[in-house]
Amino acid sequence: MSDPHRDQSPAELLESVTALRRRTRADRQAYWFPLVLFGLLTAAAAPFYVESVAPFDGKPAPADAHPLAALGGVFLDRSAALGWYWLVALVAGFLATLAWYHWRAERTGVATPTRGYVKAGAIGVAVGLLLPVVLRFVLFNMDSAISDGTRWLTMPMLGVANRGMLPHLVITVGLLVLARLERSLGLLAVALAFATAVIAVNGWFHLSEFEPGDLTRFSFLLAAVPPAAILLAGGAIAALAAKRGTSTRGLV
Amino acid sequence: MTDDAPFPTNGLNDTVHQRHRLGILTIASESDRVEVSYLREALELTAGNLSRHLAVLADADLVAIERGYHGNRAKTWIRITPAGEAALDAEVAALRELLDRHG
Repeated sequence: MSDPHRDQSPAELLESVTALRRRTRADRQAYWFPLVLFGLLTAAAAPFYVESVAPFDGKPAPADAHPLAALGGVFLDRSAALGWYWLVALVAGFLATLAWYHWRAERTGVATPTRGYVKAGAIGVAVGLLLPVVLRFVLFNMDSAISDGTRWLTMPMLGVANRGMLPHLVITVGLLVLARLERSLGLLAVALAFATAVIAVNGWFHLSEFEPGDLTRFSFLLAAVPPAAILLAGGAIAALAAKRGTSTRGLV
Repeated sequence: MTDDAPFPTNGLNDTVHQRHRLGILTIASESDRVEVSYLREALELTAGNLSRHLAVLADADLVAIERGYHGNRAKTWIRITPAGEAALDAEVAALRELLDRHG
């Protein structure tokens, strides 16, 4: 067998390693699909965030919905329906993403590791369902030293849960794990922008001292529209970049 | 660096220090698993040459070879092992050190 390496310098070998890494990563990355998918799922949730009448601040309804509908929170008229919607949407979204990467691997011949993403999705949904129960227990049923000492964290987190925005955190965790698996700074940037939007929306609701009438029936649309727009814009840019990369490779 | 420091070529592994085998490990380390047709195209190797390089790497337990079917098409997938990851990291580190020494 010929031995072509001995006449290659370390610099040439390292350049070859870098070029192959770059090429393989470009062929393997396909994160535009989960961004567009979760963007559409978030946008499709928008009608559930519209109230039938103007809400007022601090009106949590009794939380007697089915435990599996806990992802919808308790602040909204349609919290239970929103909870069921997000449960189905999250499970379907993670499974569809898994199927997408499997299909891509068969088509391109190079596979992205997805086990960590599936684990993040399963654990995220489970935590999303259990977290409101845990937060209420810590806030209202534990010793006051514990509940008062942890209020700085539990109150804002319960606000996130009550507004039906825990699914957004599940999506964020999934995207961050996927960014690590994809080794993609682009996906990391979109995931961080999405997380920032979710934190900003919740911060605004949490810190504003609303008077009755301050909120309209469309105020909670903030939970759906900006985050969905970020995912859809990120997905569209990633899809265009992937298409341009494919075209360029085809011309070479 | 002192005179006692090991020369960087000591870190080079004969199995890995070969352009195509280094390429196979690099591509495999960037993915969960990679199909042989992708390796053939990316490294511009004939099926016979690729097969020989893969056999060397598999004998050294640096890659695992998985055979399966997609529909009616037979497919062979390559997965890098933890030993393969370690060997690739060591090779790249040794190459960098050589480069630093000699420019």
